[in-house]
Amino acid sequence: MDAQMKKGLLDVCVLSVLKKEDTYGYKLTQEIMGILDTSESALYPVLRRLESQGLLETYSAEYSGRLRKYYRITAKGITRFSEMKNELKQLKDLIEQIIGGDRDE
Amino acid sequence: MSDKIDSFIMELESKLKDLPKDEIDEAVCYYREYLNDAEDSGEDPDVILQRIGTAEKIAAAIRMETSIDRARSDPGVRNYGSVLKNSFRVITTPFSILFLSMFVILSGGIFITFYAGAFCTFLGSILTIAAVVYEAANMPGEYFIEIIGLLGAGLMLSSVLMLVTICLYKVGRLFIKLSVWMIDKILNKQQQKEPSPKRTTAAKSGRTRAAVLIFSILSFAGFLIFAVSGLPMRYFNIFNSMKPQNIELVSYEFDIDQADVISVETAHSIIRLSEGSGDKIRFVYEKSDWLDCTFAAEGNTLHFHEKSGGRLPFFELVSMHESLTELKVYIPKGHNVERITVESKGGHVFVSGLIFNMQIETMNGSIEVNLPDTGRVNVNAETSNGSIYVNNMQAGQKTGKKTEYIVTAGSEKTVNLKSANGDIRIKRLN
Repeated sequence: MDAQMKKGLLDVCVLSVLKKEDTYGYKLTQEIMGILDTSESALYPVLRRLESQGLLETYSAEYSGRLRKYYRITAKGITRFSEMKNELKQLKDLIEQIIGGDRDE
Repeated sequence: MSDKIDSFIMELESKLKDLPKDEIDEAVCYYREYLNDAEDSGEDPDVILQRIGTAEKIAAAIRMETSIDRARSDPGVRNYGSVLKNSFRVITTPFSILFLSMFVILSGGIFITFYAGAFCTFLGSILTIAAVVYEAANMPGEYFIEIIGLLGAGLMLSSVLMLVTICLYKVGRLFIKLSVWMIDKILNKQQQKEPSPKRTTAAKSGRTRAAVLIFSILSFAGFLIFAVSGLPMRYFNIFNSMKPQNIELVSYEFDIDQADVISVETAHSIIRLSEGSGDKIRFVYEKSDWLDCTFAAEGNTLHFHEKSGGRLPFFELVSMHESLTELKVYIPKGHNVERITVESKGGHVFVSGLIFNMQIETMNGSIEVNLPDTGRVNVNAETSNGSIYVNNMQAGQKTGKKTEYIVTAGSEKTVNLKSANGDIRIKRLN
């Protein structure tokens, strides 16, 4: 898939993972990499930006003697996620229309 | 923690060292935790470090993000510069480098223009204050109403220039903001729908608003002071060629044997030379209240000199324009004057029926002479930007940048007429 298309999907991907449960950087990256084939370092700027937009927040919790930073989706993030989901659904319908029409011919 | 991870973290830290400390800490913490978690889940440090990319690449991505954030909230030249620097570090394809370069040159040119404009108006504002204070310091203290009016005008003008400066500066910043937004788009980061957190902007825009308010008030106050002082009406009168009020009529008489040479010099009053009755040379001068004159008779020379009375600020500029006050000089019929020299900067000069050696010069005024006939006088007329008319017909020859009209009558008397910008009219030569 096109790298720029993937970049656009990163935000929604992160929010969708966090909507299920709070998680930390490494685990989040692994999960996202299981869905999208993205580079490992691409996620840090995305997380930072989403946090500065107030779509997610962080807290620290102890894990085996060191602190681990967990990410949690905010109410604003949930709203934004459902907006994104709707946009993507519309896009999906559109794509199906185009490709479906192609197949009918 | 493995040594490899440790050295990677240290390298990352050094690559980011010019960023704000909290940003370095955040990035370093994230990657340290990330690598620790990776190791804990059983990954080989070598493999994970290979996968994650070089510290340099990671630092470049962080830097780009940070500089765009910062330029958004404070679009100054320095932050814009760091966006440009970082954007070239991040992109790699030749096409996008070319495109970005073109874009940078274009948008850079626009905002530099605005910044240069702002600098010029700022300088203009300072120079205005300096010029006004200098002028006011040189005015006689008795005209304090005019002095205060002048200071008011200076206040108004410099405040307006400051407002223009602020405006240009803001527009320049707006262009930087726009440019950063475009670069962000070019580099295909997802657009932020929410405005980024404002750190310094709130305080700064508050300061700007206060400055705009102060300068608006100052310029309005300056305008009021200027208007109340009566100066605008004076300038208005002069520049619209209206006869001034408060004219004092001054007249002088001289015996004819006192005056072989007459020299008249005015700033911008009209000069009329003509034949008079009686046996004395008479000067009648309409003295307006911003002008002053001196009269001197030395030996056989009469010298009249009009100058500023110090009441009108920036008189040098005003005197380029005529004033409708007149100096009339009557010379008794039959009396022979050896030489007459007349000089006026802004005023017109009219001469009728006199045949003497004359030298008449103006800068912006026109010259009109009425000469009885050619046989008795040589005429030498010259103008740079005006025209020469003889009996209402255009005459003269254009040579280089000036027009010349010459009549040689073989007489010992010569009339020299010279005007830089005014017209010269010669009537009834024969």
